[in-house]
Amino acid sequence: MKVVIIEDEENLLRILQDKFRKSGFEIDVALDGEQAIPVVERAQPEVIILDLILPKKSGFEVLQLLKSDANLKSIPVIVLSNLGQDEDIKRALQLGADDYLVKTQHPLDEIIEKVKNRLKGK
Amino acid sequence: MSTIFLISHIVGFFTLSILALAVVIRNSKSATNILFAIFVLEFLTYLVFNYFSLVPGQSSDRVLLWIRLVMAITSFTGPTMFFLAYTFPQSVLTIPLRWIVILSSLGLLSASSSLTPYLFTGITGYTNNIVPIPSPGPLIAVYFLSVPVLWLASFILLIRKYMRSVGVEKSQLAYFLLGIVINLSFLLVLGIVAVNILKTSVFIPFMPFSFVALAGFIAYAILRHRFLDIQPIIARTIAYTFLIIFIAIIYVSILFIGSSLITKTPIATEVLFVGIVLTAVIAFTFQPMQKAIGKFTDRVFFMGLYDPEKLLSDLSHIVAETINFEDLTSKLLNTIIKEMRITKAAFLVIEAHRIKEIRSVGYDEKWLLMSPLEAQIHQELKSEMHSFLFQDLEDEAMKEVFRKYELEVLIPIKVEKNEVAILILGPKAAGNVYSHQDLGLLDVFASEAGIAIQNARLYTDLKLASEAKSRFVSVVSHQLRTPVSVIRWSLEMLQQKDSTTQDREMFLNNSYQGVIFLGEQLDDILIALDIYDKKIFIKKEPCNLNNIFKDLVPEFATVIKTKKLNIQYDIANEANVVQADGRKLSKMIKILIKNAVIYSIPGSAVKITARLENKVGNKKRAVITISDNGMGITESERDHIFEEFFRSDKARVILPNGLGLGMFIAQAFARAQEGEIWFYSEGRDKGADFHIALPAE
Repeated sequence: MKVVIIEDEENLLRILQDKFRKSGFEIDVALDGEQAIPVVERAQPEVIILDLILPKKSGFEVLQLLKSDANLKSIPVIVLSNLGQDEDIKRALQLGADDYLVKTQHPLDEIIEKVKNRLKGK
Repeated sequence: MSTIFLISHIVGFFTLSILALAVVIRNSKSATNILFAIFVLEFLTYLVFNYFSLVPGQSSDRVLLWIRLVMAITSFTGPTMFFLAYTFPQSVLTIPLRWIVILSSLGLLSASSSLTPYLFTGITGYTNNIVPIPSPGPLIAVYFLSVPVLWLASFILLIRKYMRSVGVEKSQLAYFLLGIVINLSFLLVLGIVAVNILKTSVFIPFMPFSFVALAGFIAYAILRHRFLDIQPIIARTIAYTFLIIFIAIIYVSILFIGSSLITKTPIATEVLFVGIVLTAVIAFTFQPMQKAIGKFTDRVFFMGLYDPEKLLSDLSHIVAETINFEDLTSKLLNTIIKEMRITKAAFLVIEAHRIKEIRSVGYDEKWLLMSPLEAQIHQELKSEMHSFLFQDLEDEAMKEVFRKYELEVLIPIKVEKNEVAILILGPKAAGNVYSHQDLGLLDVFASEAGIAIQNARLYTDLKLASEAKSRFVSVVSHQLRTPVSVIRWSLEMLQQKDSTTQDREMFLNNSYQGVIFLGEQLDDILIALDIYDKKIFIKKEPCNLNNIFKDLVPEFATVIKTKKLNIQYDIANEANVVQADGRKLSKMIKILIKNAVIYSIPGSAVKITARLENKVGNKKRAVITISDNGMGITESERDHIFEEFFRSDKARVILPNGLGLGMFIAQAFARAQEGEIWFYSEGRDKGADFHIALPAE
């Protein structure tokens, strides 16, 4: 199981990496919006975890690029962000996000479970 | 004499016809209008008969016949006048039928008896040049009842109606009454006093004008009553009448005496008449002529002239209908510039005795703010500020400021004695100077504009505050969630049994740092909220800078150590103690040191200096400077450094979770302590110097 985590906050990233690794995932990371697309292209993951507030290029832009790229648009994108307002959620889903999780609202186990379920359903 | 009779009768005839036509055309169904037309028709007939009775060279029998016809037709004016007075100004006839029958019969009786020898038995004193005077018979009583008594009754009736009515109707009735008074005074003076007492018939030709005056006033009451106020009309009419009579008497006297002295023969009546008419013409046309000539000369000689009433009314309209601050100020400035033909103008918006904002057309806003004008204005604001006119200035220093910045006029705009703005105006386009009339007009405008400007600013502030609030909530909620999720997930990881000791230490440290960070964020958010609500309260005390630095720098010891930064101090002795709010000064310095430390490149130096500086007016201030060799500030970032939540892209990379409230708080604290904060940077990666200036004592 291959995942690309796009996240700029180091502490969070370290925890996520740790958790995903322990759950049997192979991980690639991108620390900002600009790195995201090349990392995804190279890694060809089965799922993408995407933060929205990123330096250089916002998560929304990354999402738009991913979903407009013929080779990448089939990869499920799970938004994992601290933006929790309705209009942000609506916007991300409209841009093609497959799921939207607000960081503070979910235990890590639940996040792993959701990602796994997404992969099984595929 | 006969020519004068003819002219006056023809003029009277036409004027009356026009009045009657105008009234009937306005509303041919109204009882008042119809009665008025009948009334005028009677006068028209009277004028015809009267003229023929005055044609000289007739047999006395014929004259007597004309006079009888005159009496017959005037017999009807009593009842008609009464009906008109009763109905006026309604459009429906409400007179009781029996009154109509009785009064009409009286009129008919008087008219028919006028044609018999029982009303006038004959004519006395008739010679070729004197107006015939008929001798009354027994039936004169009927005529007396039908005409003078009914006129008097009508007059009393109108007065009673006048007393009871209000508003428009009252002013209409006033016109009517005024018409009767003028008519009767004319008749009394010209007809009875002149003929019977002075034994002269010179004024008889003017008799038709008394009826024109009467009909004119009634017609005016019917047609135009809504458009003009009655009182100035009455006042002007009386004043004019007296003036004309006065001028005419003097004129005629001079002509009469002058010609008698020179030619030794009395002047001809016709010449006197022409003289009087000319005097009247001059009197009536003087004002319009003066106006027309004034307009013409203004246009030729005074290019910069404008219509003050139009300008004021235009400005009032804008003030009344514009709520958006930017629209309001730009519309007002453009209107003043366009109509007064001024080259440039600006509003300096004042808040708490300082220039808060500049709205200008033609002036360079930044330049105005940096100019010594600002200091000068602050000085003025402390005392009671008045309008300034460049040419009236006596203070040479002030004059120099005005000249340098092309200011001609400066007008304070106040609300309840507090300045809310200052209107400044540049030179007039035509080069002419501002007059005191201009200033007077602008003062009137200033009193109207104050509240409008204040309201518009409040409105804009409210709108901005609401936008800022929703942005604030959105940014803050995101930024607070980040440390919360770090803490939450770290604690979750700690609960897992398979983690190594090294992992556990890291997760514990993460949680701890997260909590610290969260606390700092909350502090900054609460300060920012106080700034929004203008709840920053300053308690000044002597603050020792050395102590502040010594307390603060160790807080960043870890970063300083890992980045191998070299902290250098250079605190001038005389600048070591400043008057400030200790906690706020400490917070400001902490913000600047933290930024310098975090954004510096490893191994570089951070310099902290303090020195004393003389400012305008010989006031000393302490300037604290914190310089780093960090990421610097780019051209495009410069204008946003002090905005809340602003963070440069590079800063986000170095420290992703900052709120962007530091510089916003530092600036607010500096301003609250009558200080300043500013920075200098040559660009990206070229470091930055941040300065705080505070009054020293």
